[in-house]
Amino acid sequence: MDKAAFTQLIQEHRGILYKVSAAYCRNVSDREDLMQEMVYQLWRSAERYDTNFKFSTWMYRIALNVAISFYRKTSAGGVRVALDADVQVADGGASGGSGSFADDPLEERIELLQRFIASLGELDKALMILYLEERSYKEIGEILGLSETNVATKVSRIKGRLKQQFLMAGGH
Amino acid sequence: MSMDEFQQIWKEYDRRLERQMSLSRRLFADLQQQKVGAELRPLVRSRVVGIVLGFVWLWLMAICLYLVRSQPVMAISFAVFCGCTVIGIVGYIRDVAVIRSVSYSASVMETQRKLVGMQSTMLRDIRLAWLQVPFWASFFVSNGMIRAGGRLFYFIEVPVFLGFVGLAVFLYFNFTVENARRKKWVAAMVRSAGSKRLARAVELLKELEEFEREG
Repeated sequence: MDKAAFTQLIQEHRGILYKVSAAYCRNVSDREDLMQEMVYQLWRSAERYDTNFKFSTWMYRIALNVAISFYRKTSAGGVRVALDADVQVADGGASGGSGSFADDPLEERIELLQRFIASLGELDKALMILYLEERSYKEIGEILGLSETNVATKVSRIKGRLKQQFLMAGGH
Repeated sequence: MSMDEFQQIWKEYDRRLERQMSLSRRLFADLQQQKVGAELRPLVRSRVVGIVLGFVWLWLMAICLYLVRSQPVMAISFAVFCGCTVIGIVGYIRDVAVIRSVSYSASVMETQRKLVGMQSTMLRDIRLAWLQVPFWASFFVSNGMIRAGGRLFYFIEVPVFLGFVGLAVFLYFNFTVENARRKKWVAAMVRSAGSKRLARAVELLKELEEFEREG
């Protein structure tokens, strides 16, 4: 694949990089570093791209692998965020813990969802992102290296926790 | 609240990120000029430096071994240093091969296992270092010292050596990835050795195992 076409493909799927970097890095400068590293690894792996895979599946694999390794080496890495900790919300800046939600209910829900994702372990976080992205269990399994059954069990467990979290936060 | 609603919230979040973040064309230009660093490069660099220093050290120890070949205690000590250095060098060469084989486009479980295994090789180095400890208390013991040492020699040097042997064996068998997760004192020693990265690698290894086992 020529580099121009490859650059175009990455641009088209840039949302994957935004979401993965936002989920794994709390501060903006770390996110930028992580995005650079993800793009670099995509660039390096371009020649090995297997067209049997969907481009997005292949891109998720690389983005998540880089993010998990990056997360481990940054100063905040390896530390799970408490569910009531501050989380930087897209478009919303820093916000407080529970009880300090903005008036906008959607904003509130986005914040709660972000906080829930931030509280997950590195692998559960990857699973949650893929599930919210509406990827099939088969594709999630291919990206993570798990069986479909295993993916289904884990998704169901995390979904339960997410629903409980939203209920506790105000019955939405 | 249904999962569809969560997915709708996620889509809105996606739209906001799209407005907030940007992937500049400049980044691609920098990549073509190799201005961006690769995450695994420092890992390879540290191993290559280790291999070079290892060969220098091996050369020094081999010279010492040759010079003291007629002094059994000294010769055994230097032979142990040489042996441990060779094992270390072989380990580092293998590490470089593993790092080169890491592919981020493989599945998350497979890649992370390799990377975590890579980072936990520091435990292997620490264990090798422990094994050599007793011989740092014996490498200077010449035939003359043994002959002229008398009781004082046997009451100090020998117990110190045996004490270190016991300590080295104990630490060698306890400094494992498994114990770094299970025994607090091993985990504390790993952290105090300044290896937060190793401590995190051990944590992720645990998470990987649980992730694979569940379900």
